[in-house]
Amino acid sequence: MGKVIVITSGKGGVGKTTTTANIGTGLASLGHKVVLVDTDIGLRNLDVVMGLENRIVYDIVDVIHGNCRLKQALIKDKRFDDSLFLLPAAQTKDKTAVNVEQMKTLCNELKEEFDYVLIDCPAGIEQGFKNAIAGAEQAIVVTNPEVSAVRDADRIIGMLEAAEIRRPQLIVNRIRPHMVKSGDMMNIDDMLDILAIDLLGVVLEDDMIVVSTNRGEPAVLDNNSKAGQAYRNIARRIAGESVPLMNLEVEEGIFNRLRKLMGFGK
Amino acid sequence: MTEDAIGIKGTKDGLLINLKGQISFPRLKRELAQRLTTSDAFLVGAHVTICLGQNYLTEDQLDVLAEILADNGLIIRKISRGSVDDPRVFFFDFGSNGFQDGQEGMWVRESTEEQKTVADLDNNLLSENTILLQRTLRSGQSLKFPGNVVILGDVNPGGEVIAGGNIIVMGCLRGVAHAGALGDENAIVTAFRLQPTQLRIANHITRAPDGKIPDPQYPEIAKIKSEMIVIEIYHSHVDRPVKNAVSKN
Repeated sequence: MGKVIVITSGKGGVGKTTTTANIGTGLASLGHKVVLVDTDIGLRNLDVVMGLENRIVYDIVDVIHGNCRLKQALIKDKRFDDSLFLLPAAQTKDKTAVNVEQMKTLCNELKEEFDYVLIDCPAGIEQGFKNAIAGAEQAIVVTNPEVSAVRDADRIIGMLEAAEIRRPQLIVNRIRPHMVKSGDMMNIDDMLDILAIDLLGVVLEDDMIVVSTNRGEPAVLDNNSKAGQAYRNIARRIAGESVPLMNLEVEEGIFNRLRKLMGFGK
Repeated sequence: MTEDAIGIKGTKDGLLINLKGQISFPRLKRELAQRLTTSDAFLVGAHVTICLGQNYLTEDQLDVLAEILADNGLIIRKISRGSVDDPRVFFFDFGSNGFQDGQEGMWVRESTEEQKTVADLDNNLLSENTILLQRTLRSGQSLKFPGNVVILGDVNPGGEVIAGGNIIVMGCLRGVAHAGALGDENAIVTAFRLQPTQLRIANHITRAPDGKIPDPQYPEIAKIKSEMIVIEIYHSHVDRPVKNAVSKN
């Protein structure tokens, strides 16, 4: 019996899809059997980030309406032998195409076969959100160190608690340590003060994410990516390992050190 | 369709319920109850003045009306004839849940509008309903109650507390708080850390000054003084003079 985890945020653009793709890939590399479910019907992205969009024949709406069998819609990621699958969303429908009951049935079916069912939730708090959390037992809330993202995350956590999904965990994404240091960006403690949930991980802002999205190769597969490293650690923590948080200290380049010496830097 | 027998209007002094023409009491009860349930958001800032016009109500009938209003979170503050000839004004405070057993309402015959003559220090005990919330109020969550509210936790930005009475937050108040929402200007808001996005008492609204202000380091209390909301350090012995305004720890 697998675990159904929904990855949500409230705010759009904070990194839910990237997080889902990378954690899923990370868990698969650790040997677990993982399925990624894209519930952003109408605005699907998970397939693009995973590099699997050319292989979509059937989608989640087809499965739920009985147009095909679940096995026909699941796309196997060839990078991992039978360990990583994707159930894509429909692009030509919208979020009213499925309802809560149907999602619950689907998730129950999926967790029979997989160790981890990761559900990529769309932004917002309406039907898309309700569908995504319908079958979930646990939740991961992704946010950015930025006031509006935290405000929305707080709202989402309230709604998760109301839906009886206890103890969601937090991932702080796209943090820039030099800005935190200079006081221009919220720091983790201030965020935890308001959100008051357990911290699962912190992911640095990383240009490599843009590259990896365009290529369809999740950053966890790249050893040079800082974000990839963070996601690998998060995957290990989800799998039960205890991994210390990465050191986010700014590495001073020689240029910055020179500037400080001459009195220009902070 | 007969014309509406009662007119309900919002004024700066609160809600004005105007009885037009002669109206039978059963019809008045019915229409009042109906009008109140179909309008919402009356909870905020409502003193009620009933203008009787040509009608006469007995005390019992007034009790019944007061209950209908109380069911919607409203308190009658004044009953008037609507004309200068009969300036008799009744002032009562029914509290939010009608009369307690064995207690009579405080009747005061006023000769002028603003004076309060009855020893009403214990007036507040008439409506001693206080609820205790033992968790944090998150963004998007709203707590409304006609009495006092105590919260053992924070109120996050985007969360709101609306109370007819006082608001006490044993934590950080970072959202919106509205105390005295039924018109009570004596209501207070206090918190361990008073950092609301907006603060309201009765029908006064205020917010933090622009620019970066230092976070409060001690519990504070907000109340109305001289027609404005003022924020002071909270200390329990209100009547004794304060030795040091700012603590040094």
